[in-house]
Amino acid sequence: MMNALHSVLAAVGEGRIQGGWEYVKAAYAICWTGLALYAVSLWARRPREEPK
Amino acid sequence: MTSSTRNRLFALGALLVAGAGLAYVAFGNIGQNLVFYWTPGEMLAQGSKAYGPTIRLGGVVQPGSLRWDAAHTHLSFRVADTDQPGAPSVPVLSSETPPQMFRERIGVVVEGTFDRSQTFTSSRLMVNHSNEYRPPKPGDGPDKWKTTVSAPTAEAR
Amino acid sequence: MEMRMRRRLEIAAVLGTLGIFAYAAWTGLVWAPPDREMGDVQRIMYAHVPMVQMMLLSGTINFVCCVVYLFRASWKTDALAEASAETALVFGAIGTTLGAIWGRPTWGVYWAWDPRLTTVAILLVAYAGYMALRRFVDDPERRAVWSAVTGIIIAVDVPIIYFSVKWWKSLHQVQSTPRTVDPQMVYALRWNITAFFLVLIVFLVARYRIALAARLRETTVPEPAPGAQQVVA
Repeated sequence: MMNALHSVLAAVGEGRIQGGWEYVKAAYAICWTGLALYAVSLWARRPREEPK
Repeated sequence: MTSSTRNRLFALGALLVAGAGLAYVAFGNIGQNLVFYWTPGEMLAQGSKAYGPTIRLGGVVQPGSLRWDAAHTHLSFRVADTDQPGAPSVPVLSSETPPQMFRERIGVVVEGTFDRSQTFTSSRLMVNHSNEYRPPKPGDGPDKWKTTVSAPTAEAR
Repeated sequence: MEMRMRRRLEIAAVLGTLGIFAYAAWTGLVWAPPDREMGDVQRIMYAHVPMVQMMLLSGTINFVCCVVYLFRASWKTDALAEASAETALVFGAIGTTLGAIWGRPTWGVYWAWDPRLTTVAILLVAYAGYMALRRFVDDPERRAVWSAVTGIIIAVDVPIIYFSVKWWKSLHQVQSTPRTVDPQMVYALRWNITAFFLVLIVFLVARYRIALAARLRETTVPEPAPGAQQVVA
């Protein structure tokens, strides 16, 4: 932990992002979940045959 | 008046309003009233009017000006209009750890205050990314691209 | 027979879309190289850019429907206008969230009131208002006309969003072109744009049917069952 912080502080000014997969995972999780939920809502609202 | 004639008049009216609005935003001087940041040259031109209020200053981190004290998280650098040597520039002080993208020659926007001592004290440091996306250079190992600083991209905005 | 054939084609179209979506996600998340400066964080681009583009496309479709409706009223045009406003809202809200997540490690902040972000926020609020307006007006004819006028006004923001990064100083970068992006990344981005476009089409078709069915339900006068008493509210 201390070591990780130390390496981040030492890397200031290098202009590169190290790691960061947690952001990618969060972004894709939100994107896919959001689209899937919307698809489910469309399915739930689908027009059904009027009961005769 | 039939409802279809009325609808057409509505359409023409709405299109007219929409077109006028777009023209106003595109060709009016709205950009001068709604500035996200000032460049150092613009801020210095304001003279003493720039002292005091919280403002945003945007530009390029001047090459050779970056000083970083990791022990005290003390950062100082100069923000310049361009990365050319003679460009107007302002010294900036910050006490936060900057984003990892931060480096010399990159575009930055700092939020803070400017004062009589001609120093900008930043309370928030944001880094611009350019519209360029490139893979690691050929020959760079899988880890090397994480640590080697290549020649930075020229256009920092 | 005809019905069953159509059903099968629809299922095939949805499965094909899912397949292309999976391939596109793989190109962006695995196959494409990381960016020289942003590393793997840059992979968010393959979802963020197509999502926001589909928001702008939905807004454009909504604008066209609104104009066409006022010149030639039809429940089909009104239904497509309703569908595209909703997809603009969904794709825009998710796409903007992805942009915020990308902004945190890159810019250092999730959000800043720069011209690009502000104009997108305005568009999302406007389409939310548009959907609310549709909900509050009970008369279908009046609802269609009012929302068409509203949609035309809202659509002004679509070109403004596109040009905001060119006209004004912003934190958001200007549009990339194939010249500023590595060919491998362009390839992955094109597949992702295709995939999200197909998803948008599937959503639009489904949402259009919902809206059209609702319109037809609203506008057909129910015939009173023989012998039933007329209920007066």
